[in-house]
Amino acid sequence: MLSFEVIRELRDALGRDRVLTDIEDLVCYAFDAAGGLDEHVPGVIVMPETAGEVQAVVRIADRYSLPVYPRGSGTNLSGGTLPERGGVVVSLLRMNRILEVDTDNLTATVEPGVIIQDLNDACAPYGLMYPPDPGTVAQATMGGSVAECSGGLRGLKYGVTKHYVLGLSVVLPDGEMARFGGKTVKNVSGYDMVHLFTGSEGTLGIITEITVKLLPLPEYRRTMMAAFLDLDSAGRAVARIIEGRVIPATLEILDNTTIRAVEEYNRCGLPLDAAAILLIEVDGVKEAVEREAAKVMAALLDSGASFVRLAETEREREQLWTARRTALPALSRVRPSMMVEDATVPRNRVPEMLKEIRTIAEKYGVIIGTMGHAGDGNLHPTILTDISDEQEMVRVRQAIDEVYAAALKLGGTLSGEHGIGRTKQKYMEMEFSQAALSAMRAVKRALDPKGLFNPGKLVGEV
Amino acid sequence: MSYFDDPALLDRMLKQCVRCGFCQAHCPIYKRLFTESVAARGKIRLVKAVRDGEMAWSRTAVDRLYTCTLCLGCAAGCPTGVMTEEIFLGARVQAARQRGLGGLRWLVFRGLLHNPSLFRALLHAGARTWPLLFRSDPGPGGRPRLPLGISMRRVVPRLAPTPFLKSATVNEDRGARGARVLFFTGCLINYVYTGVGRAVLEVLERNGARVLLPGEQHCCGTPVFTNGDVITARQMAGYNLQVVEKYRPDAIVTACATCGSALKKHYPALCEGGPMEDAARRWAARTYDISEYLVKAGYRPPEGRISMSVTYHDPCHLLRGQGVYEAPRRLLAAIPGMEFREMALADRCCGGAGSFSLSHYALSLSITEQKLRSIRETRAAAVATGCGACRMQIEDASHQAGIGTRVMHTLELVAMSYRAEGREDQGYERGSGRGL
Repeated sequence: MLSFEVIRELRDALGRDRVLTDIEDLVCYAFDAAGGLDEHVPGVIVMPETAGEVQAVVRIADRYSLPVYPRGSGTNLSGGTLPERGGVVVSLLRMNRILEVDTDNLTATVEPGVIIQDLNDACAPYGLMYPPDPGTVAQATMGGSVAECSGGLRGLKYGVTKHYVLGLSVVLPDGEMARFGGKTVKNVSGYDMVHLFTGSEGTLGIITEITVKLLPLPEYRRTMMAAFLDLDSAGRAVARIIEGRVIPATLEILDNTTIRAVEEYNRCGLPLDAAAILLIEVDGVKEAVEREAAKVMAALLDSGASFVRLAETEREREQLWTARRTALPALSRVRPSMMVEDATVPRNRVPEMLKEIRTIAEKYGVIIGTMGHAGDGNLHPTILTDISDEQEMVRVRQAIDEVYAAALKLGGTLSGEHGIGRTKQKYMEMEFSQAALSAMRAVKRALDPKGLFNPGKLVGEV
Repeated sequence: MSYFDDPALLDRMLKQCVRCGFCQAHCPIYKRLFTESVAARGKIRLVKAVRDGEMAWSRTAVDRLYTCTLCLGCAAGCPTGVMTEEIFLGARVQAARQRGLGGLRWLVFRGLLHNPSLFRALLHAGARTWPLLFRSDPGPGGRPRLPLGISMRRVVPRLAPTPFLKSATVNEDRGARGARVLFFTGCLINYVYTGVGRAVLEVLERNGARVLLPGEQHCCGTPVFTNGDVITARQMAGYNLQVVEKYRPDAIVTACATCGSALKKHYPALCEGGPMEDAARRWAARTYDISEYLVKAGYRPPEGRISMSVTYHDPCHLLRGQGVYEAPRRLLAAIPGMEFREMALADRCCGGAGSFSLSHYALSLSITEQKLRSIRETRAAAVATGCGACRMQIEDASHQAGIGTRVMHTLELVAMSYRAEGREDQGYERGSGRGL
C-alpha cells in the first residue's frame, strides 16, 4: 500500500480520475499475457496524457523511491509488465495521438499509446505501411512494441521493430526528458540510444514519442502453401527458396501437432499425415512477384512437398491463411492453458530445433505444438497444459528449460520477439557471459542508479 | 442450472481465458476508458476474485461489471472462445444475490414486470402521462421535465397513444393457407415503435402468413436478467412460453434483436432443469428474426420503387447474438431503386444497450459518436437497423448533435416498397435536407 502523501501528489499532478487506487482496478494490472506466472498487485495506476505528466509522475516516484512499471496494452508474453514490487504502473494508453504522417520523409511520429493497427490505418490512404506486425497488432501499443522490440510474421523480409525506429523522446528515471535520433535514415551522431531504448523493456525510461520509418504498401502478392511428410524436406524447401534468392514476406511453418489442432478446430482440409506445412507469401511489384512465386513453387516441388497450392483469388488466399491465423486459437482449445514460447535459431537449424522440441515433449509427457516463422528461425513452441495441475506444471517447466537450452545449443537465442521479461530471466546466464551481463547491468545502473524502472526484469538484479 | 447460476459451469468458463488481451480491441468501453478492469479479461479477473473469496461484490466491482454494453464484441474476438456474455450474466446474478437488487430495480422487476397485466396497464396509462413528464421537442421525443433518475438531456421517445397489440388487427382470411406465425413484439415495438409492428404484420401477411398476435404476451425479460434478477426473468420466460404453447404456431418471429436473442438463447438457459425446459428448447429452435424468417421462407421481394440510399447498422444482439448478417442486407438490396451503402464498422456497438444508456449516459453517448460518424460518411438518406434500443440511442445522440439522422427498421423500408407497388416512385426528396 502506498502512503497517502504519494497518492495525493499523484492526484495533484494528474487529477483524481487518472490515478487508480481501488483494489478492483489494481488486481487487473497484476498480470499480462504471459501464462503461468504469479500475480503482483501494484500500489497505484496512473494514466498520464502528456510527456510533462509522465515527468511529474517519474519525479514523484523518484522522490519516494517507488518502482515504476511502464505499461501499454499488457499483451506481452514474457511477464515484462508485472509490477513485482508494487509501486506505480504508468499506463500510457491515453497518450494515443498520431502526431504526424510525413509523406515526404516517409515517417510517422506517434505517442506511445497508439495501437499499431491504428497507425497502419492512418498510413494506408497514403499507400504507406508500418511493417512490424506482431500477432497482437490490433491490441498492442507502439510504445509497448518499441520497448519490447516486437517482431511478427514479416520479419524475414521486412525486419522487426528496431529496423523502423528512427527517433525517440524518453523520460529518464530522474524525470529529465531526452530526445534521441530524428527523422533521417542516416544518423550517427552520438551513441545509438534509439536502439538502446528499443527492446529495453521499460528498464531504462519511459518512451513518450516515437518516430518510425514507413514503407510503400506492396502492390501485389502471391500466397502458397505446401505440406511435407518429414521435417527435413520442409527444411530443404526453406533452404531452396533462399538459395533461389527469394526473400518471402512470410515464410511460416506449422508442425504436426498444430496441423491436427487446426484441422480439429475448423476442418480446412489440411493433410493430417504431414510433418509440417509451410505458408509462403511473396509481395512487391507484380512482375517481380510472379517470378518469385514461380521460383518458390519450383523450390517446394523440388524439395518433395506432398502437396502444393497457389492461391489464385483473394478468397483462396484467405483459405490458405486460415491455418496460420487459427493456429493459436486451435491450440488453445486442446487444454485449459497455453504457454507460448519464442525460442529462436538460425534459419538452417529449424528442422533440428523442431525435432529437439518433439523429443523434449515426449520425454516430459507434455503436449507442445510448434508454429513459427521458419524464414527467420523464430519458433513458437506452444505448451498446452493446465496451470492448475501442479504436478504437470513441474514437467512443463522442465520441458521449457530444455527447449531454451536446445535453442542456445543450436546457435540461437532465448527470445526472438517476446522479450526476456520475467519468464526468461533465469536463462540469461546461459546465453551471456558474465562480462556481457556486467556490461548490460552497467548501462542499467548508469541510467537508473536507484534501480526503480521495471526492476528485476531483463538484466535481473543490479 | 445454467450459466445464470451454475458454479461448476462458471469454473469451466473462467478457465478458458488465457488473458491474451485480444478482447481490448473489441470493447467499445475499453476504447473510451482505457482501464483494464472494464475489458473482458479484467472483468473475468474480478469474477475470479469473488469466486476465490479474494473479494466480495463490492460497489466498485459491481460498477466494473455493469460498465459493459453486453455487445458480445469480446466474445466474437476471443481466440480461445471464452463465453464472456454467459460469465457476465452469471456474475450479475451472483452480485444481485449478494448485494440485493437495489430499491428501484426491485420495485420495477418484482413489483411490476412480475405482473404482466399490471405492467400493461401502467404502460397504457404511460402514454397519457408522458407529456406530463417530458417536454416535447421537435424530433424523436422529448427531454425530462423533472429529475426522473435519467439525464435531463436525454431525449426519450414518445409512448404510442395506443399500443401496437391493442390497435393491430390481423387479416384472418388472406393468410388462412400460409404458415401460422406468432409475432413476439417486445416492449419497444408494442409501446413506442408501433409503426415497426404494423410493417412486420403487413409484410408477413403480404407473404401469405397467418399472423398470431397474442395480446397477453409480456416483456421478454432481458432488462431483468441482465440486471441479475434471474428469479423474475425465469417467471417471465415461463409465462411467455405458456402463451406460445397455447397458440402452437409454426414459427415465432421477432423484430427486436434483443427479444430474439432472449428467446433463442437465454430462455433455454433460464428454463434449464425446470418444467419449461423442453418448451424453451423447442420454441428457441423455431424463433427467427423477421429478416431471417423472410429470407428462409423465400419471401416475395417487393416491387415498389423507393429511390433512396440506405445504410445498415448491425445490432449486437442480431449479429453476434443471433448470427444474422446477410438477411437484412439482402432485404434492403432487393428493394427496387434502393441503393445500399455499407458503413465502416457497421458491426460496432452503438453504445445504447438498454439500461446501460440510462446508467452511463455520457459514456454511452461518447460511443455513439463513432457510429454517427460512420453513418454520416456514407451520406445515406437513412440508416436501417433491427433493434429498437439501437434506434432510440442513435436518434437521441444524433438529436443531441443536431443532425437528425433518420433511423428506420429494415422492415419499415420493405413495407414501404410493398405499399408503393403500382405507384410512382416513393423516394425521399433527394438532397432536400431531410437526409443525414
